Amino acid sequence: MLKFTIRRLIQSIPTFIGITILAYAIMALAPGGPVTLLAFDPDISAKQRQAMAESLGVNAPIHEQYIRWLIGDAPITLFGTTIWSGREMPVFDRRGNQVGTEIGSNLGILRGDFGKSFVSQNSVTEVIGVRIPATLELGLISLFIGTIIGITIGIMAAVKHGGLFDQISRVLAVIISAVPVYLLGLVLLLIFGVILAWLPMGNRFPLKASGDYTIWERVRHLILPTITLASFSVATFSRFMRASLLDVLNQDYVRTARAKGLSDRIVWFKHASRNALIPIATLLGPAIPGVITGAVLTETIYAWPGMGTLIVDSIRQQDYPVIMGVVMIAAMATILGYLISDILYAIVDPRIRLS
Amino acid sequence: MATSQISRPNQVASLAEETHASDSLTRLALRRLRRDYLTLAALAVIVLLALASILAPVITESLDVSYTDTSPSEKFLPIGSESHILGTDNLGRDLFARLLYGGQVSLKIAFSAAILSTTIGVTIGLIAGYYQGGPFGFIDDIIMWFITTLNSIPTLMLLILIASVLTPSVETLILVLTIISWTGTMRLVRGETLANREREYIISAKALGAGPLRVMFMHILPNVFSVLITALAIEIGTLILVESALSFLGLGVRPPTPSWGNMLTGAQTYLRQGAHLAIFPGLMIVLTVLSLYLIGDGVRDAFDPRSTK
Repeated sequence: MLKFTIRRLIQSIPTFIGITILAYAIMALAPGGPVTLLAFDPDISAKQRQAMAESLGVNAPIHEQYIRWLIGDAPITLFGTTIWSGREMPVFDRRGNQVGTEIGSNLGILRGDFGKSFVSQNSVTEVIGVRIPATLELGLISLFIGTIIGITIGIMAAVKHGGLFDQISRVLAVIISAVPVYLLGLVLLLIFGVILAWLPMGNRFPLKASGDYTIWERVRHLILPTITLASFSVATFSRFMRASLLDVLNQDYVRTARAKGLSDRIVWFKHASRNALIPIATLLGPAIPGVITGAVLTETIYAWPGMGTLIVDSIRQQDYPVIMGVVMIAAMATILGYLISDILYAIVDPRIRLS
Repeated sequence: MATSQISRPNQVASLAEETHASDSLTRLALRRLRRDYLTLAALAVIVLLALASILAPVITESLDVSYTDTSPSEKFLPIGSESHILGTDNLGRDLFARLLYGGQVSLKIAFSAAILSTTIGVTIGLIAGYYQGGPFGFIDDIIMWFITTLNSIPTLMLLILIASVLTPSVETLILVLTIISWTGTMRLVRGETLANREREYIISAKALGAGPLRVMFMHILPNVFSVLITALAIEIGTLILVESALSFLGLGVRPPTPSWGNMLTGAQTYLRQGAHLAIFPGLMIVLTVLSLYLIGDGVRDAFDPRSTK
């Protein structure tokens, strides 16, 4: 098992490198580099602009910039010994004259440093860090609820397959997959926010001076975004669970269980369902990028203060370090998701480990 | 008793011939499709919507409405208003006309990108699958690495990244969506090629002296055709969803050019004044995507040899 995990981990390294190259290459095409953005002030002289470009390193060739973005320019120490003394960066005074050099302090993304936000000047790690809990809260709750409901519907549809419930759930699943996430959000808002006015129109908390919120206040804000985000998982999981269960039902051991005279209930839930869940483990990996993608739209509609709204706002403000930070974190979450689902699969199905 | 069949050899022969002729997979599939009313209805919806979009200038002219004319006195007119069948939006523009022109833009983007990406996906999939494992196996390795990389960034994030760099226009959107979506078709075709290339008919074609290109495009491609049509229909539907999501976020088609997606952006702000502004573009998207998914499913079922319909 350990060998399989390590092999799988090593396999994801080239993917990670590929992602950094791809993302950096796309960003490098961006119109108006950081200097034009930072030096918007018309009073800044050409010399100062030059100095700024120099200290940001944007004049260097693209591959050098890429490597600096990865490993930074601060010294690298490993177990107490310095293995790289870092890069000397020119230091300029306010007029743009070079006054000396110093060792850089940027750690690079491999050491968790995504640079500073152009807009707020705070570190990107901090800017994103504040948003992560909101996205995790919404994402995990939706994924959990979506999986449970989806699997239950799948089992019920398979038990009475061909029946009315099966037909209805099948039609609904196709319809839901054709409804854009944001449209579902808008319709829910229209019904429960505007017409019935039962639930809030958005945000994670009610607007209050004090920071104390009751559980009910928080749940009220979670209901609509959760339904919106979970609907897609419900549709996917119910279809897969149904197909998987119907597959399992033709297996010999199910026939044996029936032949032994076990009741339908025990055959369905103890023998069949447990084995039918195995392929579902592989769905959880791809579900993670799905939740992230859905979160961008869901968060935008409900003004949910997570990473999704952050990336949309950052694009409007051309805050490239933040955009890159969010994209890299989303990509790493995706790689991790696939990794976990592969390992899960190998745990539940030993045949995978050997191949 | 048992001689009754043998005693009339002519009839047996003609029966065999008849079944043989009508059992051709494509003909069988077409016959199944002709009886599949749901798929036919879906097909009719798509044709109708496409026609309505193409004929948008003619239709709007005959109704004497325009998708660009604003009129401050006619804001948020409800459905069924005089001279504006579906009412007007926040600037007093005719909603029906905007739906038609929006459809033109949305359908054009999705169809073009899907056809482009399918062409690219088929070509690369055939090449990668054909050469996998052989002396040119590195081609397949490189392509698969690139695809794994591309698929490890959540689609919408990657789209947002690219769209934030390029200035959005209909053409750049087609380009961006093509870049993102060819990988699905490619994987599909690669898998089918891998499964087909060891089959007897390919071996015999090679033995007859067919070169790699001939084997790929003349022998393998026709055999993955039904899978491709299914994939294409579903692809177009998905692309309509993706395009509308991007436009909704303000990263796709820019106003004043209407698209079904960006018509919904404004609609959220005016949910209280005019809910129909959100409902109609949304309905159009759902109707189109649903029809395309149903067509995809229908074609798959029709070509499925195990199907009993």
